[in-house]
Amino acid sequence: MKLLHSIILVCAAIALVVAVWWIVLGTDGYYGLSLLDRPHHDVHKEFKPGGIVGHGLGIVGSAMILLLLTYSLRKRIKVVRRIGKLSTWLNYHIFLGVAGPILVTFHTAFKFGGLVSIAYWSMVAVALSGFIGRYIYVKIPRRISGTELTMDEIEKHQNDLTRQMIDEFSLTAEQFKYLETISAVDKIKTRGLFGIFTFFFYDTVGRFTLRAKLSKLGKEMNIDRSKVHTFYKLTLMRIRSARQIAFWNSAQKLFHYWHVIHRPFAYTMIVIMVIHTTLAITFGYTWIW
Amino acid sequence: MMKLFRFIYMLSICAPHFLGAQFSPGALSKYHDFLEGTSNCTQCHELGNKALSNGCVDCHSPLKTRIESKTGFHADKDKNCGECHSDHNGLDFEMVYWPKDINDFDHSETGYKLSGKHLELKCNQCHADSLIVGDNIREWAKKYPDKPTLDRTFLGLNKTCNVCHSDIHKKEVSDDCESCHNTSDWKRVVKEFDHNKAKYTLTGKHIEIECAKCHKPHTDWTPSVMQLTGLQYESCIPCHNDTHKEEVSDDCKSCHNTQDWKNVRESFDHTKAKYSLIGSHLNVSCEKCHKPYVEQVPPVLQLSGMKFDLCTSCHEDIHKGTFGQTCESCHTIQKWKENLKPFDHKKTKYPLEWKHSNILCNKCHDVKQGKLPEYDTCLKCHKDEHNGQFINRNDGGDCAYCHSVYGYKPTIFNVTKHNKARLPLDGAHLAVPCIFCHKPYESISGVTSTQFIWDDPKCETCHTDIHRNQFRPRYNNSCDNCHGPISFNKLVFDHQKSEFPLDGKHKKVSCNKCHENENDIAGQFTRYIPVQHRCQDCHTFTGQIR
Repeated sequence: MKLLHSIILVCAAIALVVAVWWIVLGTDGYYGLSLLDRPHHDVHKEFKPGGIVGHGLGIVGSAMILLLLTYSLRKRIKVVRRIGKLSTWLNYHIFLGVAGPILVTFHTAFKFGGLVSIAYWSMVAVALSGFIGRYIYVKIPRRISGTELTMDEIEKHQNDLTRQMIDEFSLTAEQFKYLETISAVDKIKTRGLFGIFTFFFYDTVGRFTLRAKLSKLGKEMNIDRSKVHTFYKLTLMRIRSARQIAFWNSAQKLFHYWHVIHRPFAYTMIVIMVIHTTLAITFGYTWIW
Repeated sequence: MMKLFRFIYMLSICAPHFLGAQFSPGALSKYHDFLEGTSNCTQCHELGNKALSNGCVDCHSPLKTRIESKTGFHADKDKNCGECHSDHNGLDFEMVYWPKDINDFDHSETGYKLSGKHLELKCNQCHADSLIVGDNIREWAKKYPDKPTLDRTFLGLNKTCNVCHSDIHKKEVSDDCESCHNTSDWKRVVKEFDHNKAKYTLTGKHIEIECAKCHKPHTDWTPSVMQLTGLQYESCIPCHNDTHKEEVSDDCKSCHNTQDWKNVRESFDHTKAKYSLIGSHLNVSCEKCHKPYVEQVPPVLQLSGMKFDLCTSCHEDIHKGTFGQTCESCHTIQKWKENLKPFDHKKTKYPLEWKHSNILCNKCHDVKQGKLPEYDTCLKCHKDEHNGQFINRNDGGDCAYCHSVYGYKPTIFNVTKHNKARLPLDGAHLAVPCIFCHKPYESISGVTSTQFIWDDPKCETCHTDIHRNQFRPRYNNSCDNCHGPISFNKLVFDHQKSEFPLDGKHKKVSCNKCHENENDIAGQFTRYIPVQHRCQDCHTFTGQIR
């Protein structure tokens, strides 16, 4: 089942790339022209926001955005809460949250003005906050079902790792101290909400130096070659677990604030989109109908 | 922190309103900026119809009128206005778009094709505020006083030339300028004008001449403009000089036509003149009779006061008056030199008879001499075929002695007349044809003719001496000593009168016993003199004949 969804998403992603590729190449520099010159371009009639293609992109993009709201329903409505895994729903939610704004952006023809621009920028805010939310989301330890682990469960998991490392590699207290240092848990913990940026820094850029540091530690401990891989795996899991514990409180707070951004912008976007759509239909822009 | 997020959120929601953002998809162009605002949408847009079907032309009413009347550039543009003139593209967007250079615009699409000099003009040389004549445009423009409507509009002109061009003819003619002018060269009035529509139709040479030849400029107009109406065309005189100086009526067309002024033959009906032309006169050029006045330059033919009662008024009397003035008694008007009327020569001093009556006149009447032929002797007309042989005759060689008008041959000279000549004919001579004796000879002057006269006619004049001059010493070749006229062979010779008279048996001896035949270069002949006439010349001592 998971494979099926993966295939569907990959195919949808490919379709999205192809569509964007066709739009960019097929418009012969249309989107690069100034607003004064665009009406004289050959494809303006089709690719302007009210054109057969441009309007279609807006409708499809908007439909995708409306469709991704079903993820919220899935989370909140009891009746549908058992349908599919929440992580799968999120994957679709994220895809639609990427594809929809891209198509809507081409619908606007990169012309941002008027009331509807509020909806657009709200959409952008929602999408960007979605990326951040997704990042925070994956950094919060979860069960396979997608539900969050409690702090006790995380600490228990870390203790299990500590015990396993002592049993297999006889790590000393100093060596554990060294692991604590290179995991930068103190910095993450002490910087409050901004600890997320520290976390992000060490989780991304710090990843390249972390491997070298662990390799150096392994050599000092004369780890047998056959167990090096296990050593690296256990130490990385231990560092990640330590960071998650240090990040947990901040992540909880951030996620709370994130909802403050993500949801209201989403509501704003939807409200103005409805107004925009209503006005468009009122003035006769019914696309192919 | 929550308050901070709420502030940012509310600011993001409200800021666009403060910044003037509206429902409009974009700012209107500067020409429509007065329509900005959410309350003005429906001034252009019709709810439920994105085509702006009436939104544009309801305001642009002058254009609506033209579209409905199917005139102008938009007459056949069955499109939504917005397809070509989209708006909401920004304040500086020009809604009238020229895909190429504005000067490359195909003006024929407006229903008025530019040509000639018009092609060189800039648009605003015609499409200018000052040249707009349509009141509806000006009224419409008043609604938008702060817009450069009249400077930008292409409406308001009409196709009549005097909208742009001043009427230098001062309404002397209609305003249909193109009936004379074209756009290639305004000053050159051209061919396009159909003069058949004018009161005076041009024909012949009139078609080829420059207009200004007849249409002289108004003398009191500035600038100088040719007079197009009020021309006197009933008579030719206002344009053409009366070279005849009122010698004839002013009805020029009775003689002249417009095809060729100088060629009056086709036009003039000479039967209306006092002297009708018939016969060969019809083919004679006018100048042959109507001689030009020598004192006039250019020469003009005399048309009146012509004398035509006599042929000699025009024709030279080549007969020098010998036949009087009644030319028609011989000549016809059809052919002067031919088909002469039958002339009764009997009325003349020299009536023609027989052969003379059939010969052509000019055989005797030499036109060049200009006088009547002398007819006292035949030789005045006839050549002396005898080369003057008879001139010393007593009658002076009168031809009529031998010839008559019945014919030069046969001659009327007969034996009787011959017998009056120096050699009368008798005997065998009577039976001899003339030609046997009268043969062609060449005189001293080299002229060959038949010889009739001899200085000293003798037998050998005609006859050959077959005796080889044997008788010259004795008889001086006088043939009649032996031969008579009856017959050459019937001799009149008396042997007894010779040196050897015949007697006895000698009379019975045949001639050739003593006169034997001999031969010389010319042939055989008989020897008569000398003949040995001693006895022994013929006889032997025995008495035998040798």
